[in-house]
Amino acid sequence: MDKNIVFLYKFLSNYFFCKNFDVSLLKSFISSYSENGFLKDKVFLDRVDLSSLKLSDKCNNVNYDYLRYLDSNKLKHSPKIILLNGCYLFSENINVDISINNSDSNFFYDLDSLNFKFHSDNLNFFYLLNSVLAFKHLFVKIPDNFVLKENLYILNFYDEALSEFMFHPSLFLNIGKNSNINIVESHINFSKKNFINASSILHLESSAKVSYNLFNYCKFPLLNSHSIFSFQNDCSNLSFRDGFFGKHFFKGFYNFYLYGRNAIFDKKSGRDLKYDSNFNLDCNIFHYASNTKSNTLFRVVGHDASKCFYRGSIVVGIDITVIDSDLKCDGLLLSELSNIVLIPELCIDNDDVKCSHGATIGCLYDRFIFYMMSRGISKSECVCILINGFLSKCIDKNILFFSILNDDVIENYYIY
Amino acid sequence: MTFKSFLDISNLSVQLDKKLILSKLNLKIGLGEIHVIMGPNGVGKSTLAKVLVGNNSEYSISGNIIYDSFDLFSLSPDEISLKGIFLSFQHPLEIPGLSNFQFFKSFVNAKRKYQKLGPVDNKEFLDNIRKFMKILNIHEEFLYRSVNEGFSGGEKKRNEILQMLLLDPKLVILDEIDSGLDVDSLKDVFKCICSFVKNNNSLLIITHYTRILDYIDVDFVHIMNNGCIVKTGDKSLAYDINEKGYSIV
Repeated sequence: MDKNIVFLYKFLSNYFFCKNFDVSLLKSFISSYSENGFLKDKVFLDRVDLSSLKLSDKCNNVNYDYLRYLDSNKLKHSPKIILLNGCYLFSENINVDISINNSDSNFFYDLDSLNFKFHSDNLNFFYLLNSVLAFKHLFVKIPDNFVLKENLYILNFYDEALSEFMFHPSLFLNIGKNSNINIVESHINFSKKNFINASSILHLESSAKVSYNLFNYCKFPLLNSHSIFSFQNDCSNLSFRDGFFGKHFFKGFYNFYLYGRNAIFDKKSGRDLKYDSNFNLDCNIFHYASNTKSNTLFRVVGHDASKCFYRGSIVVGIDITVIDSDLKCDGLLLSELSNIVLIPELCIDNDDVKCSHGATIGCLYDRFIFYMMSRGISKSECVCILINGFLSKCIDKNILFFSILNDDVIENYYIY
Repeated sequence: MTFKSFLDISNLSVQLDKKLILSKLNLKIGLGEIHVIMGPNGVGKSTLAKVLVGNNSEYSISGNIIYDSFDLFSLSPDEISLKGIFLSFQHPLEIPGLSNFQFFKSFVNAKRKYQKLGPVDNKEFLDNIRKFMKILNIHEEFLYRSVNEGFSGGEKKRNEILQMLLLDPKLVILDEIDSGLDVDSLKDVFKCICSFVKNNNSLLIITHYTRILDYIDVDFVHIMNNGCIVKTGDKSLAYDINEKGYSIV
């Protein structure tokens, strides 16, 4: 993974929400960003007029005069692009005119309208940073035949500096025919008072292939909810990974609809629940077309006094045949006070289907821990390594990557 | 042998649920010595091995074990390992989800941390592993498989020896290392063990068979019965047992 994101992340999480934001911070960030040699080739610094960056509006939240910045930097042939709150922030040699409407509360990105070479070998990374405007709606249209080698990042940060207490960020993603894309969406809440009700709606056109990674971290125990809807057309393939960490009072509704023939859905979810987290998730997979496949795995680790309720179901419609579907959920109890309820369900309206479901709950056995300790690893590290082993099947390395970026998020077992 | 004993077990008694497994067992092992313990099934050989590496929570124990001037009962299993005792398990455990590479790196780093060294360099670490894997005839893909998961009996034992080589302990306890190994594997394994003990490491081999004596020169053979050592001799004692059975003791 590109190390650029480390800098960006730290920068954003540390400074971006300060009410008295100092442009010099951004300048120092950019300097360190460059000095550390993380940019593979010479990028924007030569061209960017930093003096054009300024804090233009303090009334609600941090805002920059991006238009001015962009106007003064008509660059050509950019291999690197970052979109931040609807604006290009950094770019190199970009040969594109962009019209951005900052006054609109919702953002619409039609990636097809950005006439740079997406297929260029020089395209190193592409980010959508949806930070300070996390309560906005984000529409992203991925064009047909779009292939992105690197991940598309959609990062959402919530902080006390924001004046709002309730956020309803919505992401609408339309992925065009024959496109192939990896998406990383994160919701990171540093605030003690914010309530987040997020929703993500994915629409996969025919033969689209999407790998979707969702990372959610809460520093403080606040009620959050996330609704996910996906709609898959013929021959589309959706691989969904999500991980939730930290303190959570979470309610989630995930609905995945397989409307097109030969659509394939694969979902792996990992949860690491600590303290008095309360996690509640309903996950439904609807097979509404024949010859569709789905594979769902949910794994949860219950620490302390955490509670988890998971209900997963496979629904097969009437007259829908030749289905191959599997639903499995596993729990790992690490505390006597923790509580895990896993309910796998099948709702099938005809005979010609192959569906399986199952649930297991267990604990870490002393014999495993002793075996590892006999090699010199401390008990606490053994537990961490074993949890990592349990969850690693479910959590994409991209998601783990986010967890090691911030000291608050870091968990020992992610280092292995 | 005139070496100073650095493992001294005296009057060790181990009880589990009112059943006496080890009874006032005494054993001294010096630096660089190779000891073999033989005995019928169920006399407490493996229990002795487990107690030596700190797996004693389920037992009632009395007696003393002094290792390199440390009281072993005051140390946890990881501390015992860090001080240089290694147990090759009779039945190595399978740990799903944890790759061999991650596992090896974790315990090597744990040891380096104990030695106040920084984390191991990946390239150096891989080179080191590959060197040992070549000697043990282990394929590289083995590194990325889960620890012992789906391994054959022989592969598990080789894995144990690989771990031993990576940790470079002072005292190695091999609990039935020869069970589950074919002739060629046994040769590979003991080739490693022989080169390993040349560095003045001590060895305690628990076995039922004398065939290992074809591959390694041992200093002492102990016969265990009813939870204690009833006879000690040289390798000829093992051959006597092989020929006449345990009835002679």
